[in-house]
Amino acid sequence: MSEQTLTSLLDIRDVRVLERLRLKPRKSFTGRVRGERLAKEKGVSLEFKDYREYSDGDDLRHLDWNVLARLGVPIVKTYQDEEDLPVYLLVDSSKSMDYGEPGKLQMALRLAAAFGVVAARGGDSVQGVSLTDTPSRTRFLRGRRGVVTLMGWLDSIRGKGDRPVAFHLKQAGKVMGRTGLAVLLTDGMDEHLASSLGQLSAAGHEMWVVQILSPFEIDPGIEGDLRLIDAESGSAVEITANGPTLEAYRKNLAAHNETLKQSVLRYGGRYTLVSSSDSVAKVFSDVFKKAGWVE
Amino acid sequence: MSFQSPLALLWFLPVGGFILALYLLRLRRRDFVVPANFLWPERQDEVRANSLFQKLKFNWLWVLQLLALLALVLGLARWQMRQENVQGLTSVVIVDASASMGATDVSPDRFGVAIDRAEELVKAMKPGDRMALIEAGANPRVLVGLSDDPAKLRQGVAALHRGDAPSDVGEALRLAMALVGRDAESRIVLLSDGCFDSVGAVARGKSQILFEPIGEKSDNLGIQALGTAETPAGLQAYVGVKNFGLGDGKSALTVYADGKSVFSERVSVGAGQTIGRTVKLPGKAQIVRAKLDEGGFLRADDERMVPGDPAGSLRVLLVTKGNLFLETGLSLDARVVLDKSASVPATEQADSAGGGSYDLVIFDSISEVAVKAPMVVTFGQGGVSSAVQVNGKVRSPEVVSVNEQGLLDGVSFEGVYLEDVYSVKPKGGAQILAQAANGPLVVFRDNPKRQVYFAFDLLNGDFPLSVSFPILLGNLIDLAVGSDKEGISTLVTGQTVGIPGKDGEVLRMTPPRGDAFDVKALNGRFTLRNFDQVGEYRIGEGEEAKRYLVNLISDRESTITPVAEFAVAGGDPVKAKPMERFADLWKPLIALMMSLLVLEWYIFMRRS
Repeated sequence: MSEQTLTSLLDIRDVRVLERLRLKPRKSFTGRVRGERLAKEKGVSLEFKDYREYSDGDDLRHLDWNVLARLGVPIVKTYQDEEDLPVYLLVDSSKSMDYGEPGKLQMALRLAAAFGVVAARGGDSVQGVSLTDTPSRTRFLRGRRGVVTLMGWLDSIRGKGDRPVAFHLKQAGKVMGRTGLAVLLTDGMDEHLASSLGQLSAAGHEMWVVQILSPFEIDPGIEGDLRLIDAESGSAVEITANGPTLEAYRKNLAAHNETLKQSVLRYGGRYTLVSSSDSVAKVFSDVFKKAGWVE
Repeated sequence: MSFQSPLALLWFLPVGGFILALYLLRLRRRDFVVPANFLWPERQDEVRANSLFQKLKFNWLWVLQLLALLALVLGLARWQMRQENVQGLTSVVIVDASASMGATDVSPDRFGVAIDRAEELVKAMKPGDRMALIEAGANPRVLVGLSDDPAKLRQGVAALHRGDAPSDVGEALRLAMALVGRDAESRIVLLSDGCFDSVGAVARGKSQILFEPIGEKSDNLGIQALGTAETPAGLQAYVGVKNFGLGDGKSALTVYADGKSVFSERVSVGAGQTIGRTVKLPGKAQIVRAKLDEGGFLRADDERMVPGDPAGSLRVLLVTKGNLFLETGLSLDARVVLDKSASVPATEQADSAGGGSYDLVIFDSISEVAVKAPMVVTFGQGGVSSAVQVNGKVRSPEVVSVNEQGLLDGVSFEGVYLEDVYSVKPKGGAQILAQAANGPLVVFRDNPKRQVYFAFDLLNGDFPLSVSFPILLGNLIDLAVGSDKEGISTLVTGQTVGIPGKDGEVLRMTPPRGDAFDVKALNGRFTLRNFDQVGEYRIGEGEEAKRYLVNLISDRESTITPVAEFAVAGGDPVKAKPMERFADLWKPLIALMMSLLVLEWYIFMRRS
């Protein structure tokens, strides 16, 4: 996999780090194709389980040529003992994500790309979902070709939309048919996000939430009398940015983040906070690996 | 609370309005896009404004600015506050040192409280303040002249001394007025219980008199009368006890003859009432002393002493329509037991049966009648039994000669105004002691009874105001009492006695309490002024010593009920008033304003 094929989201050093990693969900999920992940039900080797439609990246070895010959439809077999992991990359691409230097959306896209690489390397299938007013999604992608497709889709995402991420998350949950690992990449700047996570959890998904904040949001360096315009709703709050005000903001932010974290943990998921200025390789090696998200 | 320049307060309105107007200006805020604003508190600490207009929002900055402005305006208006316990820049403190100030209804006594207050006043002096200290005793004296030295004033306070004599507060006020009366800013502070005789005319001057009453209660019994008389039953003493308080009083009354108790009784006296007891005495008693054991809060009048010789005391009937000079003058002599009447009681008239009760009857402008008393003094119109025959009146007489021996020793009519005198002719055996241009002025007859006639009415001239009047009364009483064989005399506290002596000679004076001291003769006399303790004084040494029995005889001092005001002749009464002055507060106000501005700056910096 060359640097050119990965566009601007990941460089070769990131890829080298990522290729050595594998997603490590807490739950086990039943895949549709034979993968490289051990199922919980052990003891029956290469036991046929079901058919499903072929998708890009599927190993052609599992293609049922007989069905293709008779019906003209590409169908692949799935097996009981080894399965693929459905990984949903839920990218918050609302307006609030188009903020900061470096931008939060850019960081979300790079992390999504990285998760895609790791998933592909582990034989898992990945579906990218953009959470915005004009949502888009990919098919389940597998293998190197799937990663390339994913990169292209990620490159096309722009921050827009006035609706909060909680709304889009609920909409996305309705079409996430296969239970799997849902990786939400968001800034969490929505008061109702914590409560909306329950829907995905109830559907059986394992929830990984990566909250991305810009350095400014973590430690705002503003002062004076300001009118703060909400990037999504356009509403305004008049403040005098001074010591007490900034202190109150920091307390509010910490309380909000803690609420989000506790909500995720309550649903059996994982949560972490990263800065948009962090490097992807560092996040995976220092945060996700240490926290047991990847191995 | 008041303002010296109240108009300056008006500055608060325009300037305060201007400050508020600044806060009515809407702040022009810079727009700043954030990912979400729900995390930001609605906190608007506006420290500046630059566009019109908005509803006034609460902000500590404008509150502090208005408070600072208020402090500034109050300072400019010269806000003043009353402050107690201070007298003013110049003050004179008069401490009443009379007998009544010895009342123990407050601790330790009223005089002690007055001293404490005087010390407080000295302590409260501020730089630049001046104070003088006057002791208002029988003879008021300036202890410390106007001084700004607190140490000197404290020494003066320590030197304050109280006697058992009535005080002359009027004289003390005149002294104070002489010191500060021209200073409109000055105060005269009188620390007293108000138990003193009415104050005569005092030039009030510009100074303000502040009177702080001291004392709380009125309970007091006192010996009001003590006299001896030779009766058919033998030598007897008459004791009168008066309740000067507002409630009933009880006490043990004991009479001593030469130190031995001869009578004791527990007496009960109603408020304002007087009771009398007659006590049989041993035949040769030298000194008779009456004493109350529980005579209320004032001790000085709980005891009285007189010589045992009846000649030492005198029962006097004053027949008058009213003469304050005579009544007062006679009452002040401890030997006198005075009764007053508008006419002679029938039992005292010569034609009635039995003996008389009086040693002396004085007719004051009342027609003289024959009485049983062995001595009669008549002022004015005389009568059938007089030593003279009255023929009419003569206007504006001129006194041409006075026999200054015996009865008129020390008495002078020089400069005395007499509006008119009676034209009289002395009867047989009468002796003219003073002669006017047109007839006798004072006539004396010793037989058939001792009679003294004065050919003028006391109130038709200014003789009672002259220095000779009390001397004349003393001489009359001496004449009525007879010679002083035992060398024992009675005096009232505060009285001054003159004894002939050669210049430079020294006389030892031993008071009842305290050390003896010497008095030097000057201008041919020993002037003994310090009879200010109740008790027995010895003048001289050895067997030649003369004894003076000094008593407090003053109903006004015995009436210890504190008063809230006292009268001053020719002016408004002086009412009790707390000591205070107005303190200018501009300095603390400016300090407050600066503090508020510093606080406002601190908050501004924090919010900016």
